[in-house]
Amino acid sequence: MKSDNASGRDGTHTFVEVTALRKNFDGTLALQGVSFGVARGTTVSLLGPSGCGKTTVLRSIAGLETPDAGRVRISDTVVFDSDGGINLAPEVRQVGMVFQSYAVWPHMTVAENVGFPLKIRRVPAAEIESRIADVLALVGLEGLGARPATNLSGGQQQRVALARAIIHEPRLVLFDEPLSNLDAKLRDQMRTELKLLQNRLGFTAIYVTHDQEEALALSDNVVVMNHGLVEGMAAPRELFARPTTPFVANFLGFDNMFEGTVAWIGDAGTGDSSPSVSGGAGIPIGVTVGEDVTLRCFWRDGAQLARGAPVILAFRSERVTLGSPGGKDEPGSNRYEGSVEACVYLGTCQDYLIEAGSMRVRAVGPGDSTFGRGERVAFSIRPEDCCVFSGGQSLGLKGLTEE
Amino acid sequence: MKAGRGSGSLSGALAPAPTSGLGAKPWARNLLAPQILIPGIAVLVGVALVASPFLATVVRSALAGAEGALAPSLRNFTTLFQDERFYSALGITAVTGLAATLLSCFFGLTLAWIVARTDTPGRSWFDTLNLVPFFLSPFVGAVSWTYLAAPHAGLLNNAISRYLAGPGDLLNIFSIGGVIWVLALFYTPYVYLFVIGPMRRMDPALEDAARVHGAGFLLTVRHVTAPLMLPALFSGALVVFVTSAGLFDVPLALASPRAIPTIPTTVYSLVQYPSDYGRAATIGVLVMAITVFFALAQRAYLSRRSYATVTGKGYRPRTVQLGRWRYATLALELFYVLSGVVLPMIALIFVSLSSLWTGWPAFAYMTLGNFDQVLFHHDLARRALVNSLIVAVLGATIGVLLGTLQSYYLQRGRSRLRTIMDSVLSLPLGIPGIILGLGFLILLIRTPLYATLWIILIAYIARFLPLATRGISAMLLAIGGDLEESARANGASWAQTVRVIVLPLIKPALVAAWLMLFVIFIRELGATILLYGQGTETISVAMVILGEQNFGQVAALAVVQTLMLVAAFMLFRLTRSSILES
Repeated sequence: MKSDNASGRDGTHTFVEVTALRKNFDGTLALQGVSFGVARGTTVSLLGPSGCGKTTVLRSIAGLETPDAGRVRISDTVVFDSDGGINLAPEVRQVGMVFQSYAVWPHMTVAENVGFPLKIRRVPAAEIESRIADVLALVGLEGLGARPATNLSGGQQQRVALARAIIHEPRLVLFDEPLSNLDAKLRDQMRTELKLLQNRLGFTAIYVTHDQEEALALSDNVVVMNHGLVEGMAAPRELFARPTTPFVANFLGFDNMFEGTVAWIGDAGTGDSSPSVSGGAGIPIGVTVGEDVTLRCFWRDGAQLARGAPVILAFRSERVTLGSPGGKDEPGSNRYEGSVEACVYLGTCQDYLIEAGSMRVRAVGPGDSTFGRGERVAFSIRPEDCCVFSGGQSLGLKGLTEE
Repeated sequence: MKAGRGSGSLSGALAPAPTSGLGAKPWARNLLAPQILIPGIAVLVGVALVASPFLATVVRSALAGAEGALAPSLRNFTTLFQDERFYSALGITAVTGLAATLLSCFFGLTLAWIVARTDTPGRSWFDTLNLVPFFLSPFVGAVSWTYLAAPHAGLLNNAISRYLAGPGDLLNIFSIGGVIWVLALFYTPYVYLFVIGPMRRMDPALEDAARVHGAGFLLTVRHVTAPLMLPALFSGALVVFVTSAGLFDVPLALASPRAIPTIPTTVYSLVQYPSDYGRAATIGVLVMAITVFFALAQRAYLSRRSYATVTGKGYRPRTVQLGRWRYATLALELFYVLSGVVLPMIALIFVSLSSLWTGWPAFAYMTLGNFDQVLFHHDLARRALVNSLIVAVLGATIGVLLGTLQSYYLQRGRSRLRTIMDSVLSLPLGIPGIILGLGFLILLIRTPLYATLWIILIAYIARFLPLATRGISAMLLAIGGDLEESARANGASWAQTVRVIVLPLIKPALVAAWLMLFVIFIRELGATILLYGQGTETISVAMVILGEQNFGQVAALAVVQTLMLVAAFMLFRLTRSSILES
């Protein structure tokens, strides 16, 4: 199982440990054995399309959902263990949570909302007051404490929810798609603020989102989920450059994906015989897509690969370089010619759809490039920008097109 | 919707500008346009239906002296305020109203919570069953409860003395407690309807947030759930208090036999021979003033709590896993449905099938004779059935027509008087039927309308029209004005737009409003009791008249009436589910 990779981590350093979580909703498997860990003071994002189970995981950690099986440990407390019959109530798990709908109580003022976790814990009123003032200043809502909570904009309500989630200095803060209800501009701004706040306060956080940018920007580790399973877990840069499954690749913007077969393995094909030049982490192989195009790329999986084996080849449209046709082919540069089938001008860049034999390639060119529809164009993809997955995983790709 | 709007405005831009009327002054043309004129007339009719009985009552209260020699005077007020019986009636009515409100709030809130938020078995069934008393006649309910809990003669009392060796008069329905009990049973669905919507629509994350941030179940209820429910509960409580305190049916059946005075029954007896219209009108003025005060209080309260109405979004409410407690909630549900529906109906059917009622079912006395009499032989009963059907069908039709036009004015009109009109038109909702009936009696007693079916029809429409207007208004509000503007922009006239766009869209609300008015008119007693004459008796009136002579025939008539109401209720459920599906 893929999730075994994640659960194999060293448990002693992890602050939150989720092990083999399973959950069934009316016959559909929402979680089919999810495991991952979060180190103290770091942020882990749960990234995936809607319905992948990421929110269920978060709610199970908070205690708002009871999984059918598995184990959740926060710090040195096991808060849920199906074998041990442990299931702590949400209120004793000592976490903070920001909800997608903000869940700001409409019948209370801003200060009453924010001070709620302290009031419930019977903190003296004077202390509550000063801490409310502190935390409101921290989230940029100074002086708004007396306002009715419904009298705020969406962004401000979001800040109230955030302030409420951190005022009691919880050991773990959970975020359930907190920015998804904000408009694009405010979302970018809040994302940056959230990052700064987390750096400053150093809380451990689990962050659920379907937005890859949010996940990459805010977290130290990203867990990609699909159909109730962990598809992969890695640091943002690694995940972005070297996705481990076709699903992860597609979800993270590898918008060119082709089924192909292995044409050659090792040094065949070109004169280039030194794989170490391109990073050293892979065997150079050739992948034939369609009938005529063979791309040079690297096999990094480590598993055995036979000539003629089915594989999936993926690369990003931004990594495709466009040029005028007829130029000289550098060895191993994956340079081909095709004709422009469609072209969409987007200001700073242009999206191209290029037909080359049986292949249709998406490419992004600079905004001032001038290839017109039907024109011949040359394109190239660096071998190290290509990802290759063994073809047995094409099922994952199928599930994806339905999304 | 978006596409429709886009195409509408596009062709609107291409269509020729509307041609101006020839020579007419602009304001006159505006007022005579059908979309202004027709709804405007309906609103004026509504205002007249509110204002005329109100004014008649006020004027009559300020006139004193012998009939024929009336003179302006405050004597009615001064003598009323010195009358101790008035104060005791007022006190008893206030106490019964308040206690019935508290009890129905307890039932309504708990039952709504059980249905909306717990895993109690049979919840979806109870969702329907909890509403059944809403459609039944409170008068029939009170009469049925006398069959159950009259001292020494009620089924329950006899069961207690037979099987539990208890006294035969443990339960006495002919008491203040009896009035409170039956009122609470029948007003529980009102509270239920008020609170179940907010309970279902509430964002479950509001409660989750409290749990996660340290509040246990009870603290969450105290700090989050209860305060969020409070506006709806309070609104429901106000409506229940005003209407239950003013209800004539239940005190007539349960308080009058023991000479316990209440305000509605006092008004009734003041109009009987030897009548004192001046004093009756004085009480009417006071009741109307109290009603208006409560209506204003409710408006003020709700306007300060705007969040009461800003829910929405169709959340899936989270159900509480009750564990073993769900048998307790199931027991409460069963207790309510048994008390409110099943037991009274069983008693009613037993009595209707008995030639002689001894307080215990006896097969020797079983007969269908009561039904035979009521349906085929007894003149009064047969006349009453026909009259009730005529008034209900005609009244519901006129009511829906006026209600549609009024809601069109309230939702689509551009008049600045709309908010005031909304308040004025909904005033009769709180005014007790018997008080409004008194107003029309004073107003029309010297006209040919007196003692015809028309005066009953007018009083019914005046009293219950706001219900139709409100329901249809809500639907008009929900569909928004875009679709009509789109049709107008595409070249349809106002009449065409109404016929092709508006009416088909609001049809579910029209059907629901019609059925609701039908149900109310079939069973109404308070507004009728002062207005009927020889030959214009309704079913409920016939039951009152027969009540003194023949138990069995009253019960048979009640069963027939109940069957009509149940049929309407089933149709209502059907339309309601078709509304939900669309």
